[in-house]
Amino acid sequence: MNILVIAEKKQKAQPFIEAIREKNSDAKYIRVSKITLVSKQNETLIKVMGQEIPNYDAVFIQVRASLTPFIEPLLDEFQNQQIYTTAKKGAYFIAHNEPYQFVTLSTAEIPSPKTFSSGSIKNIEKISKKISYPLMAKTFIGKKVQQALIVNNSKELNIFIKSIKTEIDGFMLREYIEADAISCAVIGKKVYAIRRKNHEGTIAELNEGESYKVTENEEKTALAAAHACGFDIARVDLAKGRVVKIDPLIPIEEFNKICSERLEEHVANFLIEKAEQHENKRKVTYDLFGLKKILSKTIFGRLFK
Amino acid sequence: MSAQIKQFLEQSTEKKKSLLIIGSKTYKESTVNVMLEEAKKKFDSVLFVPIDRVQIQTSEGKTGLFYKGKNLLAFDAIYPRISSKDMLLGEAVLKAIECSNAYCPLNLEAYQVTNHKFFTSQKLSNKGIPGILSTLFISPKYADYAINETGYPFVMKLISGFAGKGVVLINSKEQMESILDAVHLFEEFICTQKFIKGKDSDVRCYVIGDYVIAVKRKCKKGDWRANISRGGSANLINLSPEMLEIAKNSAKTLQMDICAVDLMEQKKKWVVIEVNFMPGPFRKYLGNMIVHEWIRLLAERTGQINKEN
Repeated sequence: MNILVIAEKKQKAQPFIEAIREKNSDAKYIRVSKITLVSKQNETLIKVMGQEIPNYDAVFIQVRASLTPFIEPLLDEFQNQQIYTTAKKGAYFIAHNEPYQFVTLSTAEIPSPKTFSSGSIKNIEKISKKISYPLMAKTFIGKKVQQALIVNNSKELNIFIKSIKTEIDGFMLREYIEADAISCAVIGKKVYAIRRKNHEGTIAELNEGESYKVTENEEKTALAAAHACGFDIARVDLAKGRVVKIDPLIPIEEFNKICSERLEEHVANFLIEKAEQHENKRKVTYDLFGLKKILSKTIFGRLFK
Repeated sequence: MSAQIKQFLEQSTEKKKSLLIIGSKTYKESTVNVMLEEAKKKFDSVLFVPIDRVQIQTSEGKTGLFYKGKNLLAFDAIYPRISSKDMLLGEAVLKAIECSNAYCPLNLEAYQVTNHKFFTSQKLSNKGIPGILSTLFISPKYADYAINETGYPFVMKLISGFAGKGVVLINSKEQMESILDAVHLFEEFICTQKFIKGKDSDVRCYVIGDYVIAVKRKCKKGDWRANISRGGSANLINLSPEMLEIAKNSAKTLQMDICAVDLMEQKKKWVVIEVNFMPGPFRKYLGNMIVHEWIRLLAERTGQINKEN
């Protein structure tokens, strides 16, 4: 059984690698920037420093959503090779685009705040009449948030509109939920949470939060939101039981410190379980009488990928 | 019963049809006007809305698209003509359309894939459709490994580029290094493709349902890119069975009823260069032919769905 952890830096992957190895399973780290995808006739290869990567039973991806244009083809390829990944194909597209994320949550009937998105600044004032104050106003250039502000009344909204000097690709007005934020680390079917205080509209940083036991409903919502967006492992932020953010990255150090947990151990257990399922499936499907081992060294080897 | 009476009765019992065209924020007015003109001949009501004017609303498990208070998801057919510049709202709009009952000749995944040069190549080659050897990587530090695959000269494409923009022909390591630095500075992802030598033309195949119209495009003198928007020329051609199969299979793989598949000849075989989600209709060379066919297909498919319902 072989598990791969893909991250941007070794130190981010190391706790997971160690936790998996402590459980007597094989784990390898690959820095995402070392990967090259090669699309050839009839196949796509995943290479690291010119060498094709071996077969893995499970892949854990811990990289930022901004790397979506690289991660999505990678996920597609792992899925094509029937390798388990913690993020399903399409998941990074959802995580990387806020208006799309809220439409996905809404179509899956997951509680989330009322949102309005549009491209033209001319629409902001008109749309603001459909939503009550206070509201969260955001502008985007590409998929990046350019400006984000809590707006308490129409006067503040006008100031916000006038402050938009550059050409934007869109804006979003979101119902602002005045409540503490509950940041959840979703790992498979488990949820670990931190409560972050709301001081007059400013939410405390994650490392200033406190350990929190989620209610049954909050747990259900966090799990459903992560899975609807294609993640088995992700961070889900809630406010009054409604989803306000999904992120592929879990800040493991902060969660461990505040929740007095070793989340990497839960991640390791989850990955090993998935890898075992994959390994068994692979044995049944391909390894009849050990044929795979023999044929993999021949020109038919590619067929088993 | 005479044929004329039969036709009249069929027409009068046919359900009313409505079409929504969602345009790019950088839409071309002349193309839109022709599309609306053609659409009005086949649909009872037609509306054009640029994507930046669409209001996307999510509330308590309900998703809506609105324009001036009108529910855009209530249309019988929706034709999104949006580009990579519309990604922020485009993905959300297409997701909402997918959850509606409207006929749409395109889909969200096709939008995400065709606006990504490498992803298109990957999806098609995995299905055995001939393409050009391509690589995708993040860091210029490891570019040598990718370039070992393609060799020099190669074509470097910004994955979100379109209409021949963001495409550079690289002949040497020195040239590559200076360009890669600039690309990395702008946080772009890099796709490289093997360069096909000695070709000053390509073939654009307009796939419209089961129908394919092909155009040979010649690049303007001094340029190696055959895009018409960059000043090339074009003429209608007949497709060989091989080309027809490639074009149709590409559209089928990406589940697109309307698209354009660009082909090029490599070692006497045709390969796909890219698939266009929002192709221009080449009105300068083809008049209203392409627009007419787009609308014909939309009306035909909408009619089929209405009958099924």
